[in-house]
Amino acid sequence: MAEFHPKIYAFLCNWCTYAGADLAGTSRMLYPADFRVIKVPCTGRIDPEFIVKAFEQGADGIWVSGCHIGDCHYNTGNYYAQRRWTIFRHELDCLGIDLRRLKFTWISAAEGRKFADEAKEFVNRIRDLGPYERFHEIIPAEPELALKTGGGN
Amino acid sequence: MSASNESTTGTATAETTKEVDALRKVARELLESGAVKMVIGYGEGYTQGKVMPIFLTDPEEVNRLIFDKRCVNNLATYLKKPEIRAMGKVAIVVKGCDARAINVLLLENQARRENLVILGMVCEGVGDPAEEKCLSCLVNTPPVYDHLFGEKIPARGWNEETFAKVEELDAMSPEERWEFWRRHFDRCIKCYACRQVCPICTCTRCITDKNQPQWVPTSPHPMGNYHWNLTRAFHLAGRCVSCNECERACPVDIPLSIINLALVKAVHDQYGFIAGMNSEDSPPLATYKEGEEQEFIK
Amino acid sequence: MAISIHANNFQTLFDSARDAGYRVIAPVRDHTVTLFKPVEKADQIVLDEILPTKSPKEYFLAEHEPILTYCRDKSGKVSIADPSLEEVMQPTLIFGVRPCDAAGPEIIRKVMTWDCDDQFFLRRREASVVVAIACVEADDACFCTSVGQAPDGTEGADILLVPSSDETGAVQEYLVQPVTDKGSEFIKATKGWKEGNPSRAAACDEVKEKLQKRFDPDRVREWLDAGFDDPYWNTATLSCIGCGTCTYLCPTCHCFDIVDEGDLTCGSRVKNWDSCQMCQFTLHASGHNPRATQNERFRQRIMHKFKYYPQLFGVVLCTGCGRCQRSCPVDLALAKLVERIYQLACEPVGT
Repeated sequence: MAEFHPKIYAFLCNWCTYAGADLAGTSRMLYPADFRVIKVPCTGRIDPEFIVKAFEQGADGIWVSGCHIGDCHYNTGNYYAQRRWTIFRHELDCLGIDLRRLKFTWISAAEGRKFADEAKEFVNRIRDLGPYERFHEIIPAEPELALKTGGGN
Repeated sequence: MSASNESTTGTATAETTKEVDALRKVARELLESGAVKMVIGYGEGYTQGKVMPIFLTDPEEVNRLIFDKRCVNNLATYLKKPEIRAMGKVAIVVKGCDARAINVLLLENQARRENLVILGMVCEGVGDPAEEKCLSCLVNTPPVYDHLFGEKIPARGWNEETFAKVEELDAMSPEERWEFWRRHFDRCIKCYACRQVCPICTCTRCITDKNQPQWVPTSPHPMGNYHWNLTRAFHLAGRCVSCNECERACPVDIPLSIINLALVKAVHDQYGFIAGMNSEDSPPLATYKEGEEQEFIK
Repeated sequence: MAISIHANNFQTLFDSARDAGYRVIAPVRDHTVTLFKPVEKADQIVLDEILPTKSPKEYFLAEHEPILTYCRDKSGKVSIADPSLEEVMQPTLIFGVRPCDAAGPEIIRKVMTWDCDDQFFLRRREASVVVAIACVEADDACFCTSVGQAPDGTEGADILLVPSSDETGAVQEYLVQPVTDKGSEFIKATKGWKEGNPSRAAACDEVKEKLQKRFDPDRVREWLDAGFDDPYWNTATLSCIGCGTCTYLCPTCHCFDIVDEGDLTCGSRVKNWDSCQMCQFTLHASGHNPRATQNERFRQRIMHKFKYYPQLFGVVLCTGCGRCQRSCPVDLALAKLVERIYQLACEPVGT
C-alpha cells in the first residue's frame, strides 16, 4: 500500500524558527520532509485566515512556530500572536476542528535540534492520524480533466 | 406629513409608561432646539404587533416613540450608516446591550461621543417569554447614557445557565461538534444578515467582500458557509456584546449565539475582559500582557 | 371527471413518484425553520404554515452551481468543460408549493428566455413537476392579490390541490386540478389519486375575502415612472440594513454573481445568488459605485420589481408572498412601501 505522505503546512517566523530549521539542515539532522514551509516575517503576521485557508487547500496538519515570548525580533509580535492563537484555537475546537492536527511551538534560531524533533513528532502524528477526511469532505471536488471538449493530457 | 418610514398600521398603543412619556418629552426638546438632527428610536412596526426602527426629524412625530418588551432591535447598528453619520449629532434610544455596543464603537473610534445623545432605557428584558440573553443581562441599567429613563436596577448577571449551551457543546466530541455545526451551517445562504445587523461589524469592506485574494469563499457551499461563520465570530472576539441580533436576524435560525458566547467566555476566562462595559479598557486582542504562557504552545 | 387525493395517500404518491424516477422535494422542518428539501416520509412534510421560510426557487435557480470547470495539465494545456446538466435534469416532484411560490419561476422565465435561453434554469423547470396547494389562510404579510396572483392561482403549477377541510377545520382531502399536460401525465404515471370529489367542498373563498387588493400595480408604476428623484426615497428605507434576506427568500429575485474558485491548476467558475441590496453589488472596478447608499439600492429593488420588469415583460416581478416582510430583521415591509407609493400616486396633483 502506498505510504501516506501527509500535506502539512508550516507557518514559520523568519527570524527564529526558520533560522532554527536552517540550523537543523546545516547540522545534517534528519527529519521527515513532509511539510511545506511558508515563511512569515513574524508570528504576529499570521492571520487566522491562513490556517483556515490551509485546511481548505487540503492540509492534513498545520504547524505554526515563532520566537520565544520575550525574544520576538519585532519585540511584541508574538505576544499578539499568542493571544490570537489562544482564542482562535478555542473557536476551532468549538466548531469541531481536530486540534491534534494543529501544532504551535516557540523555536529559536539556536534550537535546530528542537526543530528536528518537533518536525518528526508532528509528521509522525499526522501520519498516524491519516488524511483529514472530515474536512476534506467539504472541499469542493477537483474537476476532472475535460473529456467532452477533447482536451486533457 | 413626513414620509420617514411611517407606519400605515396606525394602531399606536394608547397607554404609555411614564418612562416613554419622559422619553418623548426629551426627544421633542432635542429636535425642537436643534440639539440633534434626528432621533433614532423604536416605533410600531409595519407588521401588526412588531416594532421597527424609526428615524424622527420632526418634533411633531415624537409620539411615535415607544418602548416595551417588543423592542428587541439593537439600534446602535445605524450608527454605522454613512447617511446617519452625515447627520452629525443624533439621539439614539438604547437598552443596556445596545449601549454596550456604543461603548465598543466609541472605543474603536467608530462613533464620536460628542455626536451622540444617548437615551438610555432601563430594561428588565425584552421578549415575551424573555429572550434567553436577557436572563443573563449584565446591563439592565445601560452603562452609558446622557438621559436615563427608568429607575436604576442592578444587573441580573451571569449565572449557571448563561453558558449552558456552550457547555453542552464542550461535552461533545470534536466529531460531534463538527456534525452539529455542519448541520446548522448547511442552511446558511450567505445573506450576511448577521453581519449587517451587527453594530460592531463596522468594516467598510468586509473581508469576505475582498477578492485579491479571496480569503473567504462567497459560495454558500459547506466550505464557504463554515469559513464565513467561523470568520464572522472570530472577528468579533473580544468585541461582541451578546446582543444576539445576529441570531435573531438569521432567516434560517442558525444558533450563532452559541459561538459568540463560547468566545465571550474564552475572552473572559483568559483575560478577564467583557466587551462594552466602558469605552476605555483596551480590547484584549489588541493588547498583551507578560506572563500569559499557554500550555498548548510547546 | 373529478380527481381528489387524501393526505393519507401522500406516501403512496411519493413512493410511486420515486418508482417512476422522480426525487421528491417538499416542505420539511429543519431545526426551527421549514425548508423545501428531499423527503422520504410523507408524515415529515409541513403544510400547516402560511409559507416555508425559503421558496423552492433554489430548485430552479441554484444557490450555487459550477458553470464551467478548467484544468491545466502538466504540459500547460488547459481544458475547459461544461458541467454535466444530467444532474440538473433529474426529474423532480416539488410538492406542497403555494401558488405564490409556483408563480415565481413562470415570472422569471421571461427574463430567462429573453436574449438567450438560460439552460440551467429551463432544464430544471422542464424536469420538475410542481404540485401546488391552494391557501386557506393568509397573514398580514401576504399580498398576492395585489400583484395579479391568487390563493388558488394556477400559474406555474402543473397540478393544483385545493384543500377541503373537515368539521374540525383540519385539511385532509384535496380536490385535484391538473393544470398542464405535464401534470396530467404525472397523475397517470403515479398512484394515490382517487376518482371523485373530496367528501367536502374544496374552496378558498374565506381567504380570498381576507386578501383584498392593497394597491394597483399600474398606478404604482405611473408614479415610479416619474418618481426616481422623489424625496420619498431619502427617508422611506433608512431602517434597511442591507442584508440579502429579502432577495434570497424572494421567489422572483434572480440576480447572480459569477466567481472563480480554484487555483492555477484547476478550478470552477461558479454562479451564486447575489443581492442588489449588498453594498458591493454595483461597485465598479474603478471604485465608483452608482448605488452607494442603501436608499438607492432599495429604490432599485422597487423599481426593478414594479417598473423595469413590467416595462420589459408585462408582469410585476413579485408574487406577493410576503417573505420580505416576515423575515426582514427590521420589519421593513416592501408591500407597505409600495402601498405608500400607491397612496402618493392617487393623491390629487398639487398636494
